[in-house]
Amino acid sequence: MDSEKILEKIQSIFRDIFDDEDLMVTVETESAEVEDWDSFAQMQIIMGVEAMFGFKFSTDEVTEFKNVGDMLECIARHIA
Amino acid sequence: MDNLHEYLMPPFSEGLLLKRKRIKRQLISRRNDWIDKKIAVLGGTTTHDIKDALEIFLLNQGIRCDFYESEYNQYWQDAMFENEKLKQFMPNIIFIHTGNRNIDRFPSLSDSREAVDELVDNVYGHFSDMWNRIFKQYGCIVIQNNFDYPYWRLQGNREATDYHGRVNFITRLNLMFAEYAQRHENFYINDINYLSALYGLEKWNDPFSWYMYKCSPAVQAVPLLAYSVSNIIKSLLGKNKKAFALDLDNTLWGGVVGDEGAENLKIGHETPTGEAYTEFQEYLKGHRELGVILNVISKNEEKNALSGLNHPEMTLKSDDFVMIKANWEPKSQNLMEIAGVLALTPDSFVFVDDNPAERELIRQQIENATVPEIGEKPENFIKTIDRMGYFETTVMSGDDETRERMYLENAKRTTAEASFSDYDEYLESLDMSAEISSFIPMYYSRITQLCNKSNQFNLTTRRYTQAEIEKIAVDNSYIKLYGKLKDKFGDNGVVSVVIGHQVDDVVDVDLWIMSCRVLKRGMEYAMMDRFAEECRRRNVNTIIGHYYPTGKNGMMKEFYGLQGFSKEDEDEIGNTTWSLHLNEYIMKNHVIDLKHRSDVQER
Repeated sequence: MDSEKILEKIQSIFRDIFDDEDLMVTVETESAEVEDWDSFAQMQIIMGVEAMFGFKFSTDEVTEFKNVGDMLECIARHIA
Repeated sequence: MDNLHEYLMPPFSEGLLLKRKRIKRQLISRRNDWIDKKIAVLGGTTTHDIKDALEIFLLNQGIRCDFYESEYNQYWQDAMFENEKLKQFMPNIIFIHTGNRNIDRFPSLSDSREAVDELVDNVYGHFSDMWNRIFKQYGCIVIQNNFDYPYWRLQGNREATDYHGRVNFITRLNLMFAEYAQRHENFYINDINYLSALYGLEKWNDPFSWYMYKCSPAVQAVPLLAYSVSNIIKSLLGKNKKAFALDLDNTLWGGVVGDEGAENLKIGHETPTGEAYTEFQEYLKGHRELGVILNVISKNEEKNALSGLNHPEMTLKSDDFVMIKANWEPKSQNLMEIAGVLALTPDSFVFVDDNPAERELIRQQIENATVPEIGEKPENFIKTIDRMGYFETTVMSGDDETRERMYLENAKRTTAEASFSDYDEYLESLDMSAEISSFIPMYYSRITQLCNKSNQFNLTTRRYTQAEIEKIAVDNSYIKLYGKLKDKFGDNGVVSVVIGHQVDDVVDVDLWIMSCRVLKRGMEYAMMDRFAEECRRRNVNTIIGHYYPTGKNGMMKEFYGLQGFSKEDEDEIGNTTWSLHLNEYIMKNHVIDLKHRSDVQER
């Protein structure tokens, strides 16, 4: 699955968490750009992604995420 | 969100936390009769998710809360030091969320026995000092987690037996917490030691959640934890279920008694399936001792149902049930009838039936029906019902233990009523006597229970915790009466409570409630007479009463009018204010003999 497909799949997680049906995150989206994207939201995003794909991130991986693209790459590695 | 209820019932999924905002919005839009409370969550970890999940579960119970949250790991400082913000918040409940991560020091292997004993006392003291201080400063309910076990064991199994072991250390602390709970009212343990075992300790104690977010337990376990806390709270606020309505065939026993005959039912210890049904019956029988009313609703010929219930291997016997409805009428109709006779609301029954079609019908036909998805396998019945926390027990008031007997007596009264043509004649025949006095400590827990579970005969639907009742009891500016009613069929116990506060020569009635099991017995007039008498003794001229409509108290709309009050005011949502000049008051009770408590000093 490439990054675009993964992104499409996880849009619903972002929409639920930020309670915004029209939210579109892109590979470049950074947490600072989205209102309410704090550490709690971050935690929920991680949890949502883990539940959706059935794997667990490591602490190292999560601390390295700078933007949504980083996370997509990491997801792609896990599900490859 | 049609499947909202799936998010709100165990087993929980991540969806509850991910969709929390939408779930919360939907729950708020679903009703307008709320119990409002204030809860402070003091955490030894981050508590944001816990607070959100707790809020959702309480909203689902009709309890709407304001929250105060401590900063990360500031639980102790928040409680122990002068805290203007928390003081102004005036919490009704303080929930202290701590776990094994908050034990600062564990024994080291070189410690002597005495040193470890001292360490246990120190850790315990750190917490008990805090609880004592909270009771003194805030006078509210405290809910405290006990400790979960760590996810690693230095010495392996020996950690449980060696006094240096962390498992041993935590077990000792948990017993001390339990003893504190036994000695203190208004203090409740949230048993995360059990919850973590239930959830699986390895998943519960997730180091990733701790290192990344300072969250313990694991984020995924938060709903289970919050649900447990919400059960304690809803129980304290009188939102427990009160009765079971049980199917028979393939629910209490295996097989269909009408087809196969009682002798061929699967029950007892002869077969694995029989054993599953027997353990389920033992589970239900245990509830009877808790004061939960057992009833049968079965589509059966009555004689077939009874032949099944009289099977020698049955753990439950026919006299364990208060009402047995075995007929071919719709189950919803039978449930409504039982609810009517027992003076309970239909939503206070837990409806247990192996047939998914019957379960669905009850859900559709009874508003807010309580219908666990027990499935069809008897080995899963207990588990499914138990996880729901319908009967979470917080206060054992003596009243609960005798409740079943009272419901039976009520059924007899209904029969007696039918034999009189004149209603007053029937009332006279009951030989009623009442004891109406100021609150006394013996009844605090029952008074609190009644305040929190009366919905219909309730003018203002104010809810009180026991701590609040205790304060009112000793505050001289309040008139606070309880009423106990007896008759020839038995003692109903404390059935009515009135609270009013006096300012100069005016008394404003805050609360007027009565248990529906004594409706139309004249008890409300006896209470009013006694209230008026007390007002006169205090040189009060005017009594002000209020009626606040909810979905459930429509029958009280004209209550004050019937008591001789005049309506002063009505607002656009139907709230009314009434007043009565005491010199116009005429005593109304003539059917109940009033007894005064000679041993109670009335103020």
